Amino acid sequence: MIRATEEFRRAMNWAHTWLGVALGGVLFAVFWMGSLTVFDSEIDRWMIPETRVAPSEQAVSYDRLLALMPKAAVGSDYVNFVAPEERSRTVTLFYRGADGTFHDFHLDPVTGQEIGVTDSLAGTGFIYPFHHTLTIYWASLGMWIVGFAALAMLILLVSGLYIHRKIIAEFFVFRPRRKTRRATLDLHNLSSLVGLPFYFLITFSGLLTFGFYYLPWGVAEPFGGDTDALYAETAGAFQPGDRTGRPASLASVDAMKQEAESLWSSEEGVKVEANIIRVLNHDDESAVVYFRNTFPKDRVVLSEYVAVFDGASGKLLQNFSLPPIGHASAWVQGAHFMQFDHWPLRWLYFLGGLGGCVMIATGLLFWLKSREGKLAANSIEYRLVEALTIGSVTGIIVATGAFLVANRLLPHDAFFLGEGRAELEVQVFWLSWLAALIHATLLRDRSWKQQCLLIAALAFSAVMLNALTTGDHIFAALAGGQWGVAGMDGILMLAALSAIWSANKLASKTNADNFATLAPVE
Amino acid sequence: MSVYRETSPSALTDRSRSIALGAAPVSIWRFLSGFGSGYFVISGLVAVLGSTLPTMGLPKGEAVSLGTLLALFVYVPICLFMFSTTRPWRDGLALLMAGIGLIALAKLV
Repeated sequence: MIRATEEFRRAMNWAHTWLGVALGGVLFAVFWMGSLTVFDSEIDRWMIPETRVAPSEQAVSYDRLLALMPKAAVGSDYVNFVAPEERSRTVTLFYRGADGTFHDFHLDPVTGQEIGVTDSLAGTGFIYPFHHTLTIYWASLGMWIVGFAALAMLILLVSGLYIHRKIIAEFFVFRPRRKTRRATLDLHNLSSLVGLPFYFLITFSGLLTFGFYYLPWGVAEPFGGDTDALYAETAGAFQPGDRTGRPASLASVDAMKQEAESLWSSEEGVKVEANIIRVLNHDDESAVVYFRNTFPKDRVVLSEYVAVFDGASGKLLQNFSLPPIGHASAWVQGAHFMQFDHWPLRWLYFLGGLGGCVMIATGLLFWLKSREGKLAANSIEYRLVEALTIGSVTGIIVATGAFLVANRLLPHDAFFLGEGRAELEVQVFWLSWLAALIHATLLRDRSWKQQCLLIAALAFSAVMLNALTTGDHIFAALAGGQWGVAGMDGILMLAALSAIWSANKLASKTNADNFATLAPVE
Repeated sequence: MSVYRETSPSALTDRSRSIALGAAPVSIWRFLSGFGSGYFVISGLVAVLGSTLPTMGLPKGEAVSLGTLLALFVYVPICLFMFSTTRPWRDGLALLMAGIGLIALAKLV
């Protein structure tokens, strides 16, 4: 029995080591971007200053917004409004143009007028999709890579529990003054154990969120391969009929919304609000209006209710509420999305995500430190993992800093090599990341400190540039009730200070290690 | 007599190494079987549950949601098993056959 346990532990050690080394870079990127996504709306406010509008108590009239929407959106087969809320105070309008491309606008919730905004993908358009797709959209490759990495993460967590047998003892042990290798392993164990339930929850719920995408055949087969039927039964999706070509005006969308909300509220016993308002086949007899409570603020579960009305008559066509298992699944997904209104928990999610980054980074570092003596320092495998570790850890943070700085520096009408302003910001991110990787490959160990200093410089510059270009420096933002903007500046300042502290620590550690190498062996 | 007493520490280390590391083709086989055949198994499992549970009164959408939840609980142990088994060739093939069998069963149901 003992032999079997020991063998199993060794097998787990092997799986833990090699899956961790192979996928550590992807996992760090996913955890890093996931941590930032917790504050995606705040990043949007910071990067798109025109949306820093005052909160409005006045109810939004969607009839009015539909009447005022751009001419190009009239007759679109897909017009979608996202209702304003405390963290995102404008109404967002998406519509599909005649050529099939999507367009989005920010609308003033009071006047219904379009707000001319900085062209930026910001948090919800770049950081959030990067978290689950790496923004590699070809054949959904990025989503599959992230899914595979998430599965590997679950295996790493389970195998990690097996290989660290002294789990309780290790929880209380952190010896930062010991040798780098020992201290790195202590920190890896500590960060792993502190956040272990969170890492399980976040990884499992992330996989479950895209479970239907990752198992397309398995979920569609019981429906004879009909995915429309699948999503209708599990999520209340509704397919409108074909356009008739006969224009027809819409009945009052506000009245339909009120009816949907009162139906849901009476079912729930408390007030339930719709935050997605969608018109399909606009300006046609076949138009339908679709309401959903995607991200409720007072509960964890997502998209609990969907109501669909006939556009022309305003008659209720479908009222869907999640059945029990779907409800449980949506609760787990809601625990991942963290869109409910709970600020202390939001901060804990952010810290948990950063804890995951520490766990992954220290795991990679431990691999390097434990092989320093065994592998030739110039061997290809060692250098590859070293460059990937530095590039994945400080490299992506440098790239994120460059993304923020580019957002404040690029002119409003920036256009280069066929790319608009928003795409140029993203190109800056990728090029900075690539440059950090090359820098790590060439300078090796020394690049840690230099990249830390670069992170500090970029974070500090971002704060200064926000103050200079928008006037909303941290005190003005606080005075104006712009908590998200002030919070972003505060976090950037903290990041700059942490990066400087890390650079100093790395410098003294390198000196100490060099001294230890030179010291005579007794 | 316990297994521990039968095995000297050095023999244990050698044997463990052969299980944990193995030759490159074995490692690749473990990896492909765990993730690849495991994927077939859970796809088949979701389809079978989605098709059979409705015959017992559960709505089809609910059956598929339940299958997806369970599939994730099954996938991780399958991969861990393939990383740790002492008979990777046999168990990998068995896993592949199980996946094909479940998919065939789902098609039949």
